[in-house]
Amino acid sequence: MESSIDEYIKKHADLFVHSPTARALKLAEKYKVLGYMAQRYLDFLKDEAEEFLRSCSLPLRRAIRCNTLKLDSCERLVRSLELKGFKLEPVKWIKYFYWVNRAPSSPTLGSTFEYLSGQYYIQSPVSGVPVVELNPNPSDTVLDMAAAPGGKTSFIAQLMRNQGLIVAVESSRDRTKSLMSNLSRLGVANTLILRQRVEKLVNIFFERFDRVLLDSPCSGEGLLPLDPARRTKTSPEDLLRFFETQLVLIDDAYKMVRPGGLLVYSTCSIAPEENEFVVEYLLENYDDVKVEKISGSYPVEEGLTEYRKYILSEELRHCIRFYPHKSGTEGFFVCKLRRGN
Amino acid sequence: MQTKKRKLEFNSINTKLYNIIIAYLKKKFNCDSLDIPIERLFALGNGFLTVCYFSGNLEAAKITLTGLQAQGLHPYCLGVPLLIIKYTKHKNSKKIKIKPLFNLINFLKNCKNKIILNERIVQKLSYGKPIDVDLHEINPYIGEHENNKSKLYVIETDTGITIGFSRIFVYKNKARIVPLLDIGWYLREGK
Repeated sequence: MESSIDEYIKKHADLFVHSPTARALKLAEKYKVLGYMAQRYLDFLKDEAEEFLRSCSLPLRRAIRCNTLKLDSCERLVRSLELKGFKLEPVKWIKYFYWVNRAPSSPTLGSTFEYLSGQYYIQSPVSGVPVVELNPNPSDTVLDMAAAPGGKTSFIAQLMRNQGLIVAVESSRDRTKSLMSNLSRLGVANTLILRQRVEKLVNIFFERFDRVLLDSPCSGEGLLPLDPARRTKTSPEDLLRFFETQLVLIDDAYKMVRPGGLLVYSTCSIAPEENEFVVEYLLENYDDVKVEKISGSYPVEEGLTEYRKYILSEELRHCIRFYPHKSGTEGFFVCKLRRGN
Repeated sequence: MQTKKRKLEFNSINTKLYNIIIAYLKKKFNCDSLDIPIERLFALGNGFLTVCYFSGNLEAAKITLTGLQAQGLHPYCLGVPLLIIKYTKHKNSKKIKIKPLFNLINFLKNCKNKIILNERIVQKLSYGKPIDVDLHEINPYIGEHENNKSKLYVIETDTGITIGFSRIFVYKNKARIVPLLDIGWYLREGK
C-alpha cells in the first residue's frame, strides 16, 4: 500500500519539472545560477527576483550570540570584545545577538578567549529565530532533531537556563563530535546527546515532547550570499531528494510532539518545495495541526500560499521567509505548528 | 550508528566512586568544599568512564534513558563531561586514574589552587606547550614551598576567563607552567 508521503510526492511530482523561460535563462546567466532556480525566483518573487539575485552577491554581516549560560551580563562581553578591537551592535529584532561591524585582524572572531571559553557563539541571527519561536521553558522536555553543530541546541539550553531536558539527535558521527564539543564549550548541561537516525526514535518518543525543533537538512538555497557554490550545486533531482527526506522528518517530528505541544520547522532554504510544501503535507494529513502566528517582529515576508499551479492553505501565511534583499541576512524559513489536544 | 553491538553502559555513579572523585579533587585543587551533587553525576563507558554532570530535569532524563536502554540504545552524553576515569592494574591491585575536563572548572570556585596570569602569558599557554614565567608574574605569588608536582592549578586570565588546568614547577625565580588542558584545545582540534 502506498504511504501518505509517497502519495503526496506523486501528487507534487511536477514541482520538480522545469522549463525555464528566456527571461529566466537570461537572469541565470547574469547571476550564475541554474536556469530552473532563476525560473522559480521569478515564479515566487516575481518583480523582486533580480533584486534578490543581486543581493546574493553582497557580503553578509557576521554576528554572535552572547551565551548567558557562561556570562551574567552581555554588556561585559561587549566591553571586553571592544577592548580587543571589535565593534558590536545589538540586532534589534532578536535578543542576545550582536552584529560584528568591525573585527581586528587578530584575534579573529573564532580565536578570542571569550569565544574559546564559550562566552559567545558565532551564529547568524536568523538561525536563532526558530529557537525564539519554540519559546522553550525551563520545565519543558524538548527534542532537537538534526542538532549538529549545536548552535540552536545551545540557544534552547540558554533560554531554558540549563533546566528541563533537551534530547539532541544527530545521525552523523563527525557532526555528533562537533555537537558535543560545542555544547561542552558553551556549558550546556541539560542535554542528552544521541547519535541515531530519527526514525528509530519515533516509537520510543511517541507523543513525548513539549516542543520539537526540526531545523531540517536542506539544499541551503538560502545560503547563496555565503556560499557561491550553492548557485549551481542543487539539481531539481537533488531538490526532490531533500523534499522526500523533509517529509519523512516532519512526519516523524509531529508524531513525537505531545498533544497540545509545539513543532517548529525551519530550513536555511527559500525553496517552496522544502518549506511550504513540506508544512502543507502535515496540514493535509493531520486534522489536529494548526499553523501559529510567529510572535516576534522580524524583517520578513509571510509564507507562500500560491506557487505555480498550486493553491496552498491560507494558514501558511503565518510562516515567515527571510530574504537577503529584505533583511540583509541569508534566506531562511520558519514555521510554527501547534498540535491539537 | 548506535546499536546493540556497542556495549556502552550509562549509569548513575555509586557512592564509592563519588567519594574517590571528591577526595581526589579536594586534594589536587586544594578545596575546602565541593558542591557536586552525586545524583547529578552519570558515568558512561566500559574500559574507561566519562563522568558527566546533568543540570536538568532528572526525572525526565531517567525516563528517557530507560526508554532508550530498553531498545539497546545509549546516549553519547548526558549533560557536560567533567572527568575521565581510567582503571589500571598494578601488582594485583586496581588503580584509578582521574583526568579532569574543562567543565569541571565551574565546580572549583571554592578551591585555593588558582592562579591569575595576564592575557599575554595565557595566549602562549593556549598553544598547549609549557611556558616559563617570572614568579612575580603569577598572582597569587607561588613560592618554592608550593613546588609539588601532584597539585593541579586552575588558570585564569586577569580579565576573569578560566582557560584550563596546569601543573606548576618552581625553580629559582621562575615557574614552569605545564598546561594539562587548555581552551586552545578547541582550536587545535579544529572543532
